[in-house]
Amino acid sequence: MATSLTAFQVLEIVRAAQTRIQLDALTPSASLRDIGADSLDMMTILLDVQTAAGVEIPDADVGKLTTVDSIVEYVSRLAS
Amino acid sequence: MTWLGSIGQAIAGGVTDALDVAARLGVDPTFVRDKLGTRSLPRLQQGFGTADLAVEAVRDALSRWAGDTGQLRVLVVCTQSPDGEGLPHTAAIVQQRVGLARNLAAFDISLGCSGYVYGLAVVEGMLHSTGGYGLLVTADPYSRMINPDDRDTALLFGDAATATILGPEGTWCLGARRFATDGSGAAALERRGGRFHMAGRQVFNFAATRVPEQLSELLCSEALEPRDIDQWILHQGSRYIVETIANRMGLPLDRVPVALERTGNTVSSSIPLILRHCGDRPDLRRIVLSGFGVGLSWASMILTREANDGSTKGGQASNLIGVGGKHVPQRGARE
Repeated sequence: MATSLTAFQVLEIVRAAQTRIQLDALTPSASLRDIGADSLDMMTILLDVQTAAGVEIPDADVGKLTTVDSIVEYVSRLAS
Repeated sequence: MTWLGSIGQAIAGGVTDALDVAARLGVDPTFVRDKLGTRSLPRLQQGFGTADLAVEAVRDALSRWAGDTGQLRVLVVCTQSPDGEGLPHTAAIVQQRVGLARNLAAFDISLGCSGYVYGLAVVEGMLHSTGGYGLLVTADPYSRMINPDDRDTALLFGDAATATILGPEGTWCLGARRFATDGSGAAALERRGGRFHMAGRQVFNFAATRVPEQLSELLCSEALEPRDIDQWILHQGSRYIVETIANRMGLPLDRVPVALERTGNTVSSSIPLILRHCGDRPDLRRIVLSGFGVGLSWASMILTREANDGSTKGGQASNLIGVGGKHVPQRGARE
């Protein structure tokens, strides 16, 4: 079943994902690509978000998910 | 009980520098080095084909084997890129060009990166009917169908072939195994209009979830823990996917080789290329192989070396005691 995630939960997912993101620059509104995430890092983060929230994120929507805030909002919409 | 003996290899003679390609396509070189793990990508040169690579690999395997080629009864070639229009099958071409006897079952199987593990089981099954020894060849030079401007694939794949001898004697015993298929994901890796297409995110999600599941199930079925495995030879899809699977399973990275730098992703040849290099290490008693890709298809197997103290577990290998002295030294081993 799909569940919403809080910004805190998504931040934890990003921190745990072992990416090249500069964690000291990580905020809910920071562009993940701007602070070091590459395409493979984004795949890992979104896979973990999918697993945690029980949702499927289609490729067509990946480009919109650039910040933690945008991920939280997107998942919340799917869950509702 | 089937044993895995010598492994031959053939690496294509041409070379493409992945960093040159990265510069042309505007890809960050640190991404290529740290995430893809590739540097030199071997390429089939003009005038050479899949059968040429396969023949070279077979000749190399036979040169390292102390057995008699007249005892070979099975030849299986795993390829999805046969020469010409794919008819006749590559195995028949290899049989003739290597000069193997006619009393040989020779056929191709169509699988991508899971092909080596499947192929081991296929040859093992055939040997129950034929007796003698078998050869498993992997040969999939993807460069012929790679779009040189495709950032997802042009930096990744290399051309190589391997040949593995299997039979009643050898170094490693084939043990427990698992096979799986999910055709609903087939479009993630396919050839369309003569070009290879890879949907990177689908393939990543598949490999990062299904492979650890299968490996955990395989170990559980044999009452083994990850710490019981000396080496995890995973298909070398990319450095990132190998390390992702290792991290998700909590495996120590020093037991999970990454070896794409000089070969790239060689499809069904990536596992035997590593096995050839580490198979002689006496400190390794138990190895897990796992291949995953086109299909989607994935397969994993435990290999065990004979244990002197009877402690080795891993499917059929639990009965290894009493088979001592059947190791065939590899002739002319060279690296």
